[in-house]
Amino acid sequence: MVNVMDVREEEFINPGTRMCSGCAMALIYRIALKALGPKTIMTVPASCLTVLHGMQGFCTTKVSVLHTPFATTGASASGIVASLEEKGLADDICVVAFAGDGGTADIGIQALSGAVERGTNFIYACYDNEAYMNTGVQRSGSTPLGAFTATTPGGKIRAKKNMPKILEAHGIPYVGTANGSYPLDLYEKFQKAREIKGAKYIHILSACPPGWGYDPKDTIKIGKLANDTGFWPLYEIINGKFILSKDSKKNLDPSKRKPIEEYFNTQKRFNKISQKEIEVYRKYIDDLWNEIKNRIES
Amino acid sequence: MTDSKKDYQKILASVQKPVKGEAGKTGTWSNFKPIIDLKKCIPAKTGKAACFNCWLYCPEAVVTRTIPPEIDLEYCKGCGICAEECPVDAITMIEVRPE
Repeated sequence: MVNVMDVREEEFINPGTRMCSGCAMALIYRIALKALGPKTIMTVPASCLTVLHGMQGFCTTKVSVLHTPFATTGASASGIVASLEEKGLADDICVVAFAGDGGTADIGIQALSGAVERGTNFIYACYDNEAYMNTGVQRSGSTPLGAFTATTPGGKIRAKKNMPKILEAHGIPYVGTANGSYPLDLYEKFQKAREIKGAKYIHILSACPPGWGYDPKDTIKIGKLANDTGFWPLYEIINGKFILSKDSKKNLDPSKRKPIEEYFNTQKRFNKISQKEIEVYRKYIDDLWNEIKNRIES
Repeated sequence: MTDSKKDYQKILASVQKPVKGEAGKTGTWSNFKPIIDLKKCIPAKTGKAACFNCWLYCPEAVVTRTIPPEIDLEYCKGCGICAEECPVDAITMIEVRPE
């Protein structure tokens, strides 16, 4: 387990970005860059992360960033890796695609699937704030059931798309889930992914104060509740082997999981959630953890 | 026929410089400012490099990992995560309003 003093002290983001106050994604990006180091090339589609990098002429980060159209994140990463291989720099420089949940689960899934299937040597990181936050909170494939967005005013009626499972089905060497509220776990996962050859995928839950409807100071607390209620388990799948992360291990015991209502009550987007939907969640979480238990034991 | 050297220079003109405060002085965004009580702060009190939750959890990278930790109020957006995550409640958010 990484200690706080093991985390690289050097910062790769300059203060004074355009991110909202209390943005979990800014924290995730900051920690991820620390784990990846200066020899990194980022490719970023349209998302809140594009806004973080700033306007023409100036940049907030100290690593190279390629801004790419929405649907081409995976393809652009393949292109960068191909050119690095041509120049003989592929072993030295790490290529990372960093996209939002809309750019991953909806618009960019085709390019991502293609890049992963080609076995491109890169990391694909998805920060999942569960809607199109950059354009004004519209629903995405990754929005959970019952959540309010601008395009689902009564609460979403469809369930959240399980991206880590889709990527796992591609048979890639590394799939991981992380959470902005556990930066040390996140740091370790990015470091691990950097050392593995082949396509790597990390899915990170990222709390969003304006989109989820809560006070910015509660960002870390809400992310921790997502883990404590069992809604967002932290795990890794390395070459097909399932490893439950340390911070999620206590959730294996159903009595130690907090009731899911505690998570919903902290956020305004779940104001209209019905009792029936809460039952659906309870069953989902029980099934999810039974499945995890079976996978660990087998 | 195009002059490839000139074209290359055109592309170079779009190279972006890393700067601090790309969005301006973001410290003006909030009326709340974090103040560290050095009598309570773990690294300041014990003189040991430990804790640093404020540095770890800051989304804006304005806290330093030094003894004692320092906060750059010029760019701090006043979200209050550091005050919330401090294990000994050494950080308080103080309201600052213009007269």
